[in-house]
Amino acid sequence: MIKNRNIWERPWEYKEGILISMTLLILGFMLEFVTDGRGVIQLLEYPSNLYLGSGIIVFLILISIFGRKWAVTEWLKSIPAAICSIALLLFVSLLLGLTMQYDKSAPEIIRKLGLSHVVSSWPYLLANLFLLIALGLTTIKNLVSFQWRKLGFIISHLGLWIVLFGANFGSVQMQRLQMEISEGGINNTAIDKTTNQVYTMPFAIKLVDFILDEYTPKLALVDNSTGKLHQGNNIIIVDTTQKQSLEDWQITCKEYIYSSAKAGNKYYFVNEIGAAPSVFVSATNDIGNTVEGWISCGSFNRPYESLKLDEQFSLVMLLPEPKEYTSVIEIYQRDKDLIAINLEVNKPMVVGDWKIYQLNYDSNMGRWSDTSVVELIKDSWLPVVFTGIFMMLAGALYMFWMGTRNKIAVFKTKTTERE
Amino acid sequence: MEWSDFPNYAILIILLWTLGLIFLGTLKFKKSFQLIGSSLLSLGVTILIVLLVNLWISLERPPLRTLGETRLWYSVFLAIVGLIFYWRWKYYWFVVFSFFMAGLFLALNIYMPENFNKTLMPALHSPWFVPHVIVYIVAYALLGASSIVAVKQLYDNYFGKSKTTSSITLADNLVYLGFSFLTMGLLFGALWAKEAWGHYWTWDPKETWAFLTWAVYLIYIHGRIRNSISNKTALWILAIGFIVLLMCWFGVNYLPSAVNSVHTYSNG
Ligand code: HEM
Repeated sequence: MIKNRNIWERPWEYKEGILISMTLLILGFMLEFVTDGRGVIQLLEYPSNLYLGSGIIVFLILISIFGRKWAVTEWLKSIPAAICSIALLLFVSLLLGLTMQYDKSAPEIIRKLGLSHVVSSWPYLLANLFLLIALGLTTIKNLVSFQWRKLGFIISHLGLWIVLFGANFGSVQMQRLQMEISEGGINNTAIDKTTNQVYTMPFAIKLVDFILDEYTPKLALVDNSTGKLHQGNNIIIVDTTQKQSLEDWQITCKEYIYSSAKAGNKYYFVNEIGAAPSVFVSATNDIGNTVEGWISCGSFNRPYESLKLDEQFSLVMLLPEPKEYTSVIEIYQRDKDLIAINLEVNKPMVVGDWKIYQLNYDSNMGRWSDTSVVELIKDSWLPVVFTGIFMMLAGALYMFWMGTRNKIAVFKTKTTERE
Repeated sequence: MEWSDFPNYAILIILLWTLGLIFLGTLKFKKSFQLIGSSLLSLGVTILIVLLVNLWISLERPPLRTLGETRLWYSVFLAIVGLIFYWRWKYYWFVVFSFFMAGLFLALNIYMPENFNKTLMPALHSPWFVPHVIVYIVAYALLGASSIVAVKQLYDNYFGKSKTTSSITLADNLVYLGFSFLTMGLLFGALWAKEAWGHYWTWDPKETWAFLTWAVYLIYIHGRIRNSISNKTALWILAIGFIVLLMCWFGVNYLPSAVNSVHTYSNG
């Protein structure tokens, strides 16, 4: 390291790096401010995303050929530039991590500086471009002077570059639509929830049946004074086989009916729409007071019932949580065979260019819901991003395998090269 | 095992570990003492693992959902990292600190019992769930250990006798391993998110903080190449990195920006 180097004298290092990062950051905020906080959405929309993306690739190649010897290019391929560009993106992401996004009540200035929509703001775009250029030039340099011992380096750096490139310029082209289907009904239109635009799909979906599997409901204490759930060790699952405790109370569930209705002052098993779970509980506290009674969480058409234990607490049943839900659907396409499948959360299915996800249901109706909401996603850049992700995974495995050995090897050869 | 028995087991494990560390520490040169010491430590770790397996069976789902559950795994892996690196490099202080941290996380679970209920939301019923979380916790254990190394070294530099920063090599080893796991965890998360929510990255607060953590260690790794940054700066980055990591792990739940996060299951 040359110690008494003036700023902007070769080789540039951290001082120049900090200045460049700061300039980009301030420039980003200024651009955002003068465009009245509109962000860069238009710049990244189709087809300008393609122009910008291919522009970057051409730019990187041209610079690698003709600008190889410039001080700035030399610097962009160096460790200080790597650190400064990662640090700039880190800083912008920190702003993202600390602020509420898309918060309508945020002060005007927050919006004008782009802090209410960081990922589509100028500072974020500039930080990403900086990183793409530094990482790109480094990767190209190492690709051109290929050596086998650089393979790990190339896989992880090229992988990351591809992921960043695809995510920044490609994901804007992703189409994400929602389709609501009712039981027995068939639908071939879907809505983009951000723009409320309606699209006609190249296929139609029929909902044959919607099935929701629930967990056994939980019991909890409610503070009588506030009406809110009591904090602390406050939740148990209905279980008729054992005594359980909630604060000072020993709770025994004597009779549990999953599907029930109230008649008189007792609950009976029924099998009709809206039938709710209920349980007969007996609660005893430290000083031997016992309270008994039926409680139920109710449903969209049944009232709930709680049990007052003492002045402080009441015992309530919480609405059962969904365990799994499935839409039994049939997909109709022109000139193709009908596809009949069960669509579950976490198990999307592919139809042509589209991927279909189980998204939601009428949560008001719970297990009686007869509508299902599916999400339809088309992401033509996904293969690009996945290629990058798998390269990075390979790079991570390589790093795990090699540990610091490679670093030390590189370190040694580099120092000898320098001398 | 019932969750209510946990405190007893935890205290037993902490006792075993304390004894083990004492054996390791006194009469360091005697082979037999070392053997007894590391056996006691290993016994504690084994009990903890059995405990986890039992919990898994009794909950009928992997115990990886709540913060309390992930703390248990963290204890296990941190203890294992401590043992392995002790056998490999014989740093006594390192094994002390990693077991101290592991014990601390067990103790936290005694004083902050969480609800170990059986429910698991549908998006978590996925083959990705277990690898994603385990890989992350291994990464956290290794990176946590690297921060222990860094803080000890910084302390020695500022207040102690040592002016060298020799143990930074140990930190490098831990960070390289830890970072490769962190990268895998991040990418598994992205692949899983695509299956569960339709997009691989949405800058959800938890994701944002995971990226921040990743970026801090990325800076460390590059700064260490050809000693591009001073050792002291590098050590400070590790110390700060751990704060960002903890923020990602626990802190996110308390951020105002996290109210809409799809990743904060633990209060559910
Ligand atoms: C997936 C993320 C990354 C990983 C795992 C990674 C890892 C590494 C490693 C291990 C080295 C040492 C060289 C070797 O062992 O072969 C290295 C070198 C380097 N990295 Fe990265 N890095 C990553 C991202 C980045 C980024 C974002 C940049 C920034 C622009 C960057 C720029 C550099 C540079 C300039 C070198 C020195 C290369 C040389 O000496 O020719 N890296 N990286």
